[in-house]
Amino acid sequence: MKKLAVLCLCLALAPGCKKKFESYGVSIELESRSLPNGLRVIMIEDHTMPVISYQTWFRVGSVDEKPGHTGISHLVEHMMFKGTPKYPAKQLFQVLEARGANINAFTTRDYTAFHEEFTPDLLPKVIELEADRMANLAIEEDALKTEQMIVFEEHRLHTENSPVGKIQEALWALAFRTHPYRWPVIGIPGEASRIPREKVQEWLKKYYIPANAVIVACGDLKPDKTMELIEKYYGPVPGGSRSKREIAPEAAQNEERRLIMRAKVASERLSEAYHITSADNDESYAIDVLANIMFEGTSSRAYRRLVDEKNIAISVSGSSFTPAHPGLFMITATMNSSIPAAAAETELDLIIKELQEKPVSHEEIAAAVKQLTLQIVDGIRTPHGLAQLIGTVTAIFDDPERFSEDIIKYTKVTPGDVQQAAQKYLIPNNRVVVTLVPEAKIK
Amino acid sequence: MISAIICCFFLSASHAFEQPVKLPEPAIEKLPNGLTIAWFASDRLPLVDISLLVKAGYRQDPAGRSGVAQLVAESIDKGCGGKSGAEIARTVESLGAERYSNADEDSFSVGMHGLAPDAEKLLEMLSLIVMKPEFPEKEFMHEHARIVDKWKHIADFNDVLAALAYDRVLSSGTPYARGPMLTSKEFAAIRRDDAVKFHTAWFTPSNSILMITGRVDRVKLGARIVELFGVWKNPEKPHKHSDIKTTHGRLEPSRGQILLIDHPGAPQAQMRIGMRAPLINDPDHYPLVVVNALVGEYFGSRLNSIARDKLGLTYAIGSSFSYDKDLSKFTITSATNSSTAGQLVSKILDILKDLRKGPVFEEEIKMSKAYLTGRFPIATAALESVASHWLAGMVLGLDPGHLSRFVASVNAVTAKDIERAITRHLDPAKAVVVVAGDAREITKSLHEAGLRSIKTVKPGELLQ
Repeated sequence: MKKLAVLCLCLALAPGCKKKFESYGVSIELESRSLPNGLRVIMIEDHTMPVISYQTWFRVGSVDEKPGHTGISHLVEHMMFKGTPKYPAKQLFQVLEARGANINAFTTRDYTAFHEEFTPDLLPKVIELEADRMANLAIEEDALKTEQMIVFEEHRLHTENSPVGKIQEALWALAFRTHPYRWPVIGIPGEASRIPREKVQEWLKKYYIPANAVIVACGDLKPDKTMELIEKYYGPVPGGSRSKREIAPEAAQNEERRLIMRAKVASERLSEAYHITSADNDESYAIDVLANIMFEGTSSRAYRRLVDEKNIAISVSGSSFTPAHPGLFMITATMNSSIPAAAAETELDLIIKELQEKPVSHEEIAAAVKQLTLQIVDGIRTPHGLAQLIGTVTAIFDDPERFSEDIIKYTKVTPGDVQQAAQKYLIPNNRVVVTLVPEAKIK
Repeated sequence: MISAIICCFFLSASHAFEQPVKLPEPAIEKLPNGLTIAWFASDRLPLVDISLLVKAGYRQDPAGRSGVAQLVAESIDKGCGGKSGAEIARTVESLGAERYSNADEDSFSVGMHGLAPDAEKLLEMLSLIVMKPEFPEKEFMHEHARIVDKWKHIADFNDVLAALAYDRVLSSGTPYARGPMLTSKEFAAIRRDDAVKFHTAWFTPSNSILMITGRVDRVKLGARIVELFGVWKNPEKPHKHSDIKTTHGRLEPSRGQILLIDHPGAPQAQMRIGMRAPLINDPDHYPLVVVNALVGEYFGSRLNSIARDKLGLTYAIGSSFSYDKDLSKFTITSATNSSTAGQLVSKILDILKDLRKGPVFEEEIKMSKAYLTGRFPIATAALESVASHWLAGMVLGLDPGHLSRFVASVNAVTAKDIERAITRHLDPAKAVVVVAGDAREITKSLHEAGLRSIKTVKPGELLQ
């Protein structure tokens, strides 16, 4: 009888797919399955640690929002912890925390993820709770109001109270004029506090549904057993239909944009952002290598020039951010007291000019590729890190296997590719510059 | 062999938390010069981490020269064994690897983190850095100036101001009172010779532990360790250190007084509330670990349930214990809008008073213990995590098996133990309250909450 039940279950599932990837001494076997309601499930069985990371990824983020209700995805992330009729808020936490589970969530511009890390005996309960809140989340007026206050405090903490947060928010707002990347994930200040309960419920029904979700479970689990549980709890949840993203691209920028801000800081800070491409463009590999050559470590070109040789900045950093839609190549420098940000800008322009005029060496590329390899391997040290990698590529590319070619693609980057990326993207008309100036200085 | 042991442990640990837990312990070797080598080998991923821990930190800064350890950390790799700092950086970074060098109150760690095939080269670079630093004058003074500049930026961040002021007050009169730097005047007096002396005194094989974690060929790398580190000599006379106990009289608030660090215009108030706590080897340690969890460690804890979930006063609130060898602290950390600072401080103090008054309910104790013992296998699942706990234990003077006894020790805590520990150690009347933010707004808010005894200082006073 039991066997028959299992057989029926297997037939009810769409065919699964198991694939093993081996690269740089790391072996990962992905098992992909899906339910008839559209829920995708990706599992990685790894018994080296008695831990499971269970992550629920929804393809919704601030990019899906419209002015007037910006920050709603992040607000819903908060509300997801407010419980259901069966498991009210306190109980949701109690059940999991009473067994030591780590529970949290995050929202980005392109996606939202909920994650738990726990010992294997808790897997059935986690699946039950996650399926329950996907289907039955309760949005109570009082809880919403309290959470809106908390979100307000979160914005204060990370942005208003922090020079770094302040400058980042301004940089994105200056770089994008029409694209929804222009507002922060937490929303335009004040908007999230005014979103009514009905709008939150509507958002919930539209995006937090099986057809728009991917479960990534990684660690000390058995795929068949896990799938049985997923089918049991998520099977009855109506799948809904996945909304198509129709977002007009940002028009090409054809003149430099600048902003000067003031704050109570000890010295000037410079932030620059150049428009670049999106994650699905293979140019992004050359741009990553370029960013590492410029900024990774104290032997990088920018650190040596600005911090060691010219002694004008106490720190300089930069990275390429290539999300689902075209992103930004971002640079930040904190100046030595009394040195203006313009001095860093001049030196950075010279470094970029050198990169555009003369190809980088093969040694520099090899070092950057090894750095990127280390970053990738470091990122998958725990089940949580590995699940996050798979979740990210699935949310962006709709393809959980996409990560497997990263290291190979980095090794194929040539000096010509890096030079071309610098020539194409790192040009003044394609950038925005935000300078944070000490208030005392302006007076 | 080690990975097989880990696997067996984890299988048993995940199914029976009540059973005594046996965590992986390192394979230990000792060189004739006294250098301890700890191997945490694992073939799981092609990574290696090689670090040298030295048992000396800020506490060992010489008299009138506080900041030396911090400066040694920043300049130790800026020229070593005939190679310039730039050469060292290039060599390590061309391998894609990262190097680190950090000092804290009781220890110093210098290390390399990279891909497993590069283990030998990384070991060689580490040996040059820790055994043959040259502290070239120019690079040394450059780092000196950079630290001075970084310290000027502490007022850019409210949370840094609050944490520094809180640490200053709680450590006043102890060997840790000077922190990473006591005054800019003392720091200005530091010369290259001070760094050389600090290095000579403390960077010795018998005062150090070399720890290797990750995928390594132990035989091959072990032979290389003997070649490189076997020649390292101890000084003829061991260095004698006398603790320096500074006080922060100008900062210290009187009992019941709130210390307010004025940062005009800051929209949010950062706060630290707490008190000194017993050392990690005190008999009340485990009862206090259970108390801390139910007060402010998990989402359902008292602080989070009341201040965040019920009142919506803050985005983040939590409590923790931190341990140095001879000083421990219990700290509640949070931040809120300046206009609600008084309400939040008052609520936190009420929660501490309620805790003291009791009762601590049986369900809370049960929940807290289950949380701690359930979390333990997760917290110690990664080998790197066990290795870092093991190393921290060595600095704090704990026996190597302390981690394996965690679950049993937590399970053994009773309601009576908790009551006793709270009565002895968590007296809200002794709580130190530090708030950093816009003094005008915050003072108004504190007054509204009936908190009228306030001592306001400028950020500059933290460095005297």
